[in-house]
Amino acid sequence: MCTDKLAIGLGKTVAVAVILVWSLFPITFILMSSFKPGQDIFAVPPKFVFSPTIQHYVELWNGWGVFFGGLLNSTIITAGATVLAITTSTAAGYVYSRYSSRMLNASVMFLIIVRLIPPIVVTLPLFPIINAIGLNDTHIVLMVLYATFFVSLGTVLMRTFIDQIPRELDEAAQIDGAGRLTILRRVIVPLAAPGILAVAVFVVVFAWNEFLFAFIFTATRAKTAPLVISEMIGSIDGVDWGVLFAASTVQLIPVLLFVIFMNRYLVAGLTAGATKG
Amino acid sequence: MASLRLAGLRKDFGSVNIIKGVDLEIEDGEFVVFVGPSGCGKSTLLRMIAGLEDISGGDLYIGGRLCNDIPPRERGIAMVFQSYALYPHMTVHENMGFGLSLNKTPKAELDARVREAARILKMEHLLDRKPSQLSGGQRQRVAIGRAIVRKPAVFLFDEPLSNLDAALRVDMRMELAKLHRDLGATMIYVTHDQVEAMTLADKIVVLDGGLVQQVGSPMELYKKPANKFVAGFIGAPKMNFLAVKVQAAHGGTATVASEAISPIPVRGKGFDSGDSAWLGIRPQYLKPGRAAEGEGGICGKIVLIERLGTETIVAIETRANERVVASIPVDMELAFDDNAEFLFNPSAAHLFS
Amino acid sequence: MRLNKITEALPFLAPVQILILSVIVIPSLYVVWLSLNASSFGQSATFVGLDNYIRVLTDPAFLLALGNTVLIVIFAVHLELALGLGMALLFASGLPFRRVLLVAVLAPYAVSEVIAVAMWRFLFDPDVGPVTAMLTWLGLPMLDWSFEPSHALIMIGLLTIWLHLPFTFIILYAARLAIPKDLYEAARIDGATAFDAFRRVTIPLLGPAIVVALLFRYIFAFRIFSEVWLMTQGGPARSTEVVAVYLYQEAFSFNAFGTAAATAWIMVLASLLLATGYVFLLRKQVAGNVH
Ligand SMILES: Nc1ncnc2c1ncn2[C@@H]1O[C@H](COP(=O)(O)OP(=O)(O)OP(=O)(O)O)[C@@H](O)[C@H]1O
Ligand SMILES: [Mg+2]
Repeated sequence: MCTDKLAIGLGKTVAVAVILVWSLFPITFILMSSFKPGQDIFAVPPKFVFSPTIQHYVELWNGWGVFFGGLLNSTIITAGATVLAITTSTAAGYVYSRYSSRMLNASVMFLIIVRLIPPIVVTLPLFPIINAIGLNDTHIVLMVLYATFFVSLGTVLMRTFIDQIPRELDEAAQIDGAGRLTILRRVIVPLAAPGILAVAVFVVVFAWNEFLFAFIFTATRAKTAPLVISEMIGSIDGVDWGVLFAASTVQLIPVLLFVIFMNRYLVAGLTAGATKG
Repeated sequence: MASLRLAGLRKDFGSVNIIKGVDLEIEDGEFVVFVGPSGCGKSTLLRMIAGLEDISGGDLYIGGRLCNDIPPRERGIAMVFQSYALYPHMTVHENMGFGLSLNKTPKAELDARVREAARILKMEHLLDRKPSQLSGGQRQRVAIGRAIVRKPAVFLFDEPLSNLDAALRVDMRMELAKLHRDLGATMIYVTHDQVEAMTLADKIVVLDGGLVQQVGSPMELYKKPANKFVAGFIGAPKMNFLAVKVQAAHGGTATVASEAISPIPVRGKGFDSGDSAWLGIRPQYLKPGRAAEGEGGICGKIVLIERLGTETIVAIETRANERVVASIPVDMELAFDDNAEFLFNPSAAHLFS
Repeated sequence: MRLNKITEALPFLAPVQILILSVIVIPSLYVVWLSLNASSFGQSATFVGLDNYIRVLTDPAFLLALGNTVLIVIFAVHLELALGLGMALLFASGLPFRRVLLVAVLAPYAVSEVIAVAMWRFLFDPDVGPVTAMLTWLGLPMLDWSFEPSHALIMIGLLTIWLHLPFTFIILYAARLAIPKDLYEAARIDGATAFDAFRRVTIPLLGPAIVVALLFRYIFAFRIFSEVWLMTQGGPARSTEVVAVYLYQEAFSFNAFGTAAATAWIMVLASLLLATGYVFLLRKQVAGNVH
């Protein structure tokens, strides 16, 4: 009996260790390597003790100014897309939660189906159109694209979260003299904050990391950080791994911290998103 | 302060007619209670008065003003919900002041009115708490306080006490009665608890199936129920109904009898001999003993004894397999399966078709 | 009055609907029209019926891309499901520091495809990659992903699993946590062993979540683009292309918008087909919940 328990405990420990290595080793490796001096990056087996240096960051700063422009673009686009997605899906989710009509019910199915259209499909018609109206290589295009590909999920999520707020609160506010917009702002939004945060996690992570749309719709002015990093990977004269790891670290740390900090909402959002549409 | 008039009020949900034409006058300052079984449309009617449900037909006047299409906030009403509906993210103070803050009442006045309401309800010490830090009874007070702050002409309550435990319910009931005396406002109160209805109401409105069955003071309803439904609904334990045949009828008196009851004359208009009817007798009017001449008598086997302390509820089954419940003094020797006899004064009986 | 209410709601609803219609729905429908015409960037179109579809479906490059995609989907998604399920059960069996471990498992969710590819390329680099070195040390064959297409596909599959395992895991873990404890207690009283309980309680009750996770991952793995593009650009010699990369090449390298559009609709139809299954299941689940 006792040995049984011991064996199970040992098995679990090994399993957990494997999971941790699988999830965290690649990330830690990049973060650590970005501080390794020159040849230490290539040491086999990998070195875990080394004298850290910021040499690669200096090189990044001096040689890849465009990367920091990319970071700025990514920040602007992520912020814009998040605000757009959150405001629109909260408003729509509120309506879906509180009103019912055959039209609305039908359009929920529509929202679900829209999520299943691969994003690359819309690049075909949008590419010439966006070029024609001169919006290519601008922030606004990516903001709108990123937001749009999350408003359907966002709306369904917000509906799920708002459904949990009793309708009597709306009615009490209505009797207190609040109009629809006031109810939304003063009652629904504060109480649906976890849902809003869940949507925010999705959009922020997506917009910050997205590659395909950025690749197709930006060239120089609105180029995002991932796009710059992809250029580092693909540079003809061999990859400068040290600089690449430094850039990756700079791009990764904020979103990693965000996900760690918001893990509760991410889990809630993933769960609700999968079961409710 | 305001009077209300409901004229032919109707409500449809889709094709289902829920409120089927309600006519009602409510005086200024009156405490009116809507009672009825679950699903009869009490809440719907109240919410129509509040403006939370659209009116499908008929007219609603509050203080003489036609209110069918007026939004809730302009009707001069306040409502207390069964679930309290306190805003969980606001403190008690903010909850109570929310309506005033929306119409830009100056801060000082808002604060004064919130404190005044809190004083009336003796909950000044709770003002900075969040609803989640309150007990059920305290939440109830906050909900009522929120209504008071609005200084409404009409208070609407939808089963406000049903989430409280029995003892607290009695306390709150008394407080509500006091509040009504102090504020003098019109109050409309929905419940399915007939004790609340009897103790609180100036006027009870009995609803069933979307229609008003009877309107009257508590004692009127108790003494002169307009039909079998009202008779059965008001009073506890429930009135006994026995199937009888009318043997003779003249001048507002009908002589009725059944297998279990020998012929007796009771009050009852509009019956003809040969009619089937229901004889209604409240359990409190049944006394143990053998019926003398001119009294009604029922006998049967005892099937249930409930000793409640101040009274004992006895149920017997008659020869006709009807169950009759009597409420009798406590100090009687009784046993299951014994035969028991009860008598009643025919003038205390009701006859329903 | 009722009509009035819906119109009152319209301003709240409009932004989402306008975004979706103008960015997704109308362009997608326009793609149908594109797919029925022969056209390239800047030229006027001529109607060719289903020609583009026939051309795509008979193009060996497309068939290879489709084959690769299906391989990745089948290999990656099912392996991912097995891993996710195992982890969900492990977590549910009670672990110390569960919250911390959960966050650790979630971490790859934050990593962009670009950085993931950078990591993978380094870790598996034939000359300097630490994983390559470890494989050699263990006497295992190394992944020669830049020359050997099947090795490249394995790399891409592993990378996809690494990136998306958090999603699958969370869905299954949440579903596992939703199974009430007393069911297991009841099963124990009925004399079930741990394995019986797993087979007769856990699996049936996790069924819907497993199906949902699978369908989601099928649909999303089917559109895989960035990982492949960044890893191999479809090379060498178009041997590692997937459907989305094929589409991109047709449209933006060869200017063949007609066949690209046809490819796009083949993708949409494949996704919708999978989605129908998903919606159908969801309906059944909803109907089940009502009872
Ligand atoms: N929004 C609605 N749509 C359709 N039917 C409704 C709606 N609201 C209420 N009903 C129906 O109207 C009837 C009356 O409901 P109401 O809530 O007024 O009953 P009630 O008398 O308050 O009952 P209870 O004592 O249980 O609260 C019920 O049969 C209910 O099913
Ligand atoms: Mg009700």
